[in-house]
Amino acid sequence: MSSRYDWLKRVYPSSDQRGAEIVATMLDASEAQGRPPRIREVLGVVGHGARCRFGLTPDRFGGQVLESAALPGLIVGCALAIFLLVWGEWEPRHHVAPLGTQFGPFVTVAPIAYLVWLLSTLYALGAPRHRRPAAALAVASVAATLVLGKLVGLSPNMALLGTLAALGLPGILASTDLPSSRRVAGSIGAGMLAFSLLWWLGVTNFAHIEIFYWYGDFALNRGILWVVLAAVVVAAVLSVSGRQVLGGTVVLVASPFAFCTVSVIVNESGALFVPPGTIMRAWVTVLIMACGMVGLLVFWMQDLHRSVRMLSSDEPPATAIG
Amino acid sequence: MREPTFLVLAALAGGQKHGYAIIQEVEALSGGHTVLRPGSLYTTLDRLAHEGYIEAAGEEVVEGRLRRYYRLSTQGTRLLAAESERRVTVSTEALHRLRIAGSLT
Repeated sequence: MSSRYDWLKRVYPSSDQRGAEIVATMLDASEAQGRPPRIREVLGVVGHGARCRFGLTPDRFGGQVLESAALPGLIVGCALAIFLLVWGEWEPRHHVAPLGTQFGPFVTVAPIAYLVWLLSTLYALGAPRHRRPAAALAVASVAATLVLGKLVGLSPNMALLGTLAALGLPGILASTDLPSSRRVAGSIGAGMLAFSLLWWLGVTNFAHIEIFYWYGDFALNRGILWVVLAAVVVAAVLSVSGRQVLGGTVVLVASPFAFCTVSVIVNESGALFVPPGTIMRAWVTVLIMACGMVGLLVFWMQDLHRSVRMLSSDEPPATAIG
Repeated sequence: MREPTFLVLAALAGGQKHGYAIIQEVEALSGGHTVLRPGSLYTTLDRLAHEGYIEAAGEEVVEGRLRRYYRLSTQGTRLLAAESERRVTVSTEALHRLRIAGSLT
């Protein structure tokens, strides 16, 4: 049976013997029960191997950043979902009613994703060990809403939904751990800050834009440059002061909002009635965020190539127990 | 501390063990309630090693399969002792209160 699972070893980095060790453990466990390894066991080993290969285990920089960003990502996403539900779907219903059909009292089908996101976040807070499936459900609901929107002709704003989906990715990719009360408090604080900023950037622009929802990325673009700049400066200061993981977390949670500015560049370039400076502001925002991401990637790549083998030992076991 | 983490530390309390032996020990300690899959076990081991609670204790090849052994570090021993005492205190107090309330005979 062993040779059938040799391919699993190649999922792990070739520099150490972790793949051989873990596949041996999987085969020992399944053979003791007289059965082949279950699919869930094999997928678990593949997932662990991929995290080892890409430096995303809890002992590596990438894994620590992902784990640190998992809960804030979900809660900031929750703030975005609540904001979009109120000012993107509920408030503008009177403006768009004469234009065509609606989804009940809402403008599009996106409230399904917002509601699922809200419930998933509450579940992840109440049962932290199930954070990963909760995050997967939240992101899947966004994807499903985009498909449903196309089918029924009530498509949500792709840029805003893309931002929301990206905020859930750390929650899926990070290994599950119980967050400390400090991290929970910090995550809720980040969510409240995000909601305040969204309100400031989005609602205070209502005077210029009658229907926020379809022009939401356009509205956010007016001020998101300063938010992104502040996030990258804070991340740089944290990194210089030795708190690279926290700095990486700030970049990772802030970076999805760059979707809004990318969308402005794609959709508004060449448009006739774009206020002066709009496209330039979007490009500068993307550039600043790219600098933050490059910094994060540099730390990640440095860590990925460091030759520390924490769990290796050349000494034989003192007494073979078990 | 999560239950699987506590059980893994407790499994190593009796001495160094390799991955499959830890899985067996965790299942026995939990009365069959917790059965760790290899992916989950090694994620927990990675975390505990990073935090300095366990360390590698050598490796050997048995019937063509690599076995790496793990043991508690001094820090891990202290953590397990403190967590065990905390759990005993809470359990003792809970049983005491149930007896006072007449819920237990």
